[in-house]
Amino acid sequence: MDKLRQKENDRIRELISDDLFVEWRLVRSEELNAYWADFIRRNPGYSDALDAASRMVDSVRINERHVPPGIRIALYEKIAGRLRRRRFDMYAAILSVSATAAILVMAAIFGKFVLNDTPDKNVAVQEITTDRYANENILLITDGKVVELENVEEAITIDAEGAIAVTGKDDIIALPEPAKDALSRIVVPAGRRSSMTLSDGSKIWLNSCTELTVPNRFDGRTREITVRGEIYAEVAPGSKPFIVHTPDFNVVVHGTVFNISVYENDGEKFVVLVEGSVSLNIAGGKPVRLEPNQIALVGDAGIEKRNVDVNEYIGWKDGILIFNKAPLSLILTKIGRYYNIAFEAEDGPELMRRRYSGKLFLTGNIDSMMSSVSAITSTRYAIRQDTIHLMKP
Amino acid sequence: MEKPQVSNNKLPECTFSFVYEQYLDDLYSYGMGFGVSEDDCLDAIQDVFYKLFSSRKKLAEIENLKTYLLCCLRNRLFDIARHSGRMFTLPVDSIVFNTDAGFTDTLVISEEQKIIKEKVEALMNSLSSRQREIIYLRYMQKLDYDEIARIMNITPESARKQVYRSILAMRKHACKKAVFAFLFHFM
Repeated sequence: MDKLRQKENDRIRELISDDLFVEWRLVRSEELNAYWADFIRRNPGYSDALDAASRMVDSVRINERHVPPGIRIALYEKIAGRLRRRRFDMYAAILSVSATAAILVMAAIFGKFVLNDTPDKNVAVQEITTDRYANENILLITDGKVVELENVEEAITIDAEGAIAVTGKDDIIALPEPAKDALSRIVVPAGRRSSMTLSDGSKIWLNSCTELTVPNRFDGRTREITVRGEIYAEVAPGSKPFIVHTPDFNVVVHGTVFNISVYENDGEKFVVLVEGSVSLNIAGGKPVRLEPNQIALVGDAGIEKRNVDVNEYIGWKDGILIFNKAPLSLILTKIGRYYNIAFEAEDGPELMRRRYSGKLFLTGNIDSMMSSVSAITSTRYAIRQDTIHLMKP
Repeated sequence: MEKPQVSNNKLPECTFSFVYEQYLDDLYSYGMGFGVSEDDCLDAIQDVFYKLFSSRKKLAEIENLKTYLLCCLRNRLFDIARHSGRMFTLPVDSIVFNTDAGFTDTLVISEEQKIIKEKVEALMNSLSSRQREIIYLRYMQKLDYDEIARIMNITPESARKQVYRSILAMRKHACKKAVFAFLFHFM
């Protein structure tokens, strides 16, 4: 067995040491295609070695460089800053808001929690705002076009040939046989959610404030997608490894069902595994493998693994928010994203730090949802424009 | 087939970040080939994106964004070189384009990968600077002759001929080595 493998390795090495072979994989001219096809005809034993050697040489990249994440963001900020400074360009202001991480405003606290009726002049108002996207509709950007999805029922489907359709609409948005490496991007603003089927049959649910980039077709040796925000994925089985890229880490999927949350303004980013097996790769660290019902929390201190009840993390997909001793600030952030509303609370940080456990049904009706929230947190609420004020009862 | 609704006159702001994310690495990879410092390259890229994003009309109208951006970057790098001697140590007309080979996602490369890397680099170094640039644009950036022509400021026909000549030069390099190997065998 070893001798066979040795022979195979020798053949592979022979091929990759041949300048003509390397040149062929680089330029793929007709002349060289014919030459090597002929070579295989005369030496059929080399067929496997040729495939393996081809894969090796094909994975070479010339001059490939990536701008590191920190510099990427800083550079974008510089561009946004310059655009902002141009007079009368109101769009530049929106550009900077949508580009940077969500704004989480915590006013400085001067007063303390007072139980009587006369308000303490120094108690500061605490605000929780959410990512504000200029658009209220889900956007599908593909093939040089921008398509807005207005109705809640619309879902995006990519078929095996890379054709993109939106259910509920009769038109095909992007034709089959897309250009090689064609990408599509879905942007889900606050207050909306979406789901889509990829060309391999994998199903992805997108939570509010999420951007997902996928290839129209998985032509390469891997299936790779990029996400910012939160998704729940059911990955179709397949021989090509499925990899999810996020700004801070990659998730390599060996099995099927998981939830990734990588919101910029959340303290922790995480991956929760429901079924199957995934591993997280973080730059400069060892890969971390997850079993079902485990969470990997990615923070400044590194990756922490814990056993959890997955329902707490994936309920959003079905409109249910389950929280277990979660601080009110986190609960309101999640609700804020889901409905695209901001919260204001008059009690200072003490209220926001209180922890609650429970289940919220995120129905379309904000009032019924808020009455559950006030019941759980013992507060009163009032809706003014698109901000909800929480007050002492 | 009816075209779906497209809101082209109110391009969402997120398109800027989409375009930026999509093409930043391509621009960086291409720009660094000219032997400039990382800072100078990123400055030039900043200028290119700023110019593009300043005009929303332009962004909506340009058909081939990648080619446009690469072309802008090349021009910008050359403009900077013309006006300040600091970026390039050689005079402007002999600006070199260099290439190196590598493998993505690997910290340590195998023996086989080392061999391939050396071979690819040797093949590319057997070419002139201009030929290297053309081969890079054709086979790494996967551009067609029209696109290469726009970026390098030549005709598509000239682009095609130069690609052909580059392949010939690589072949000469390959065969020269084969001849030496052959001679060595008989010594």
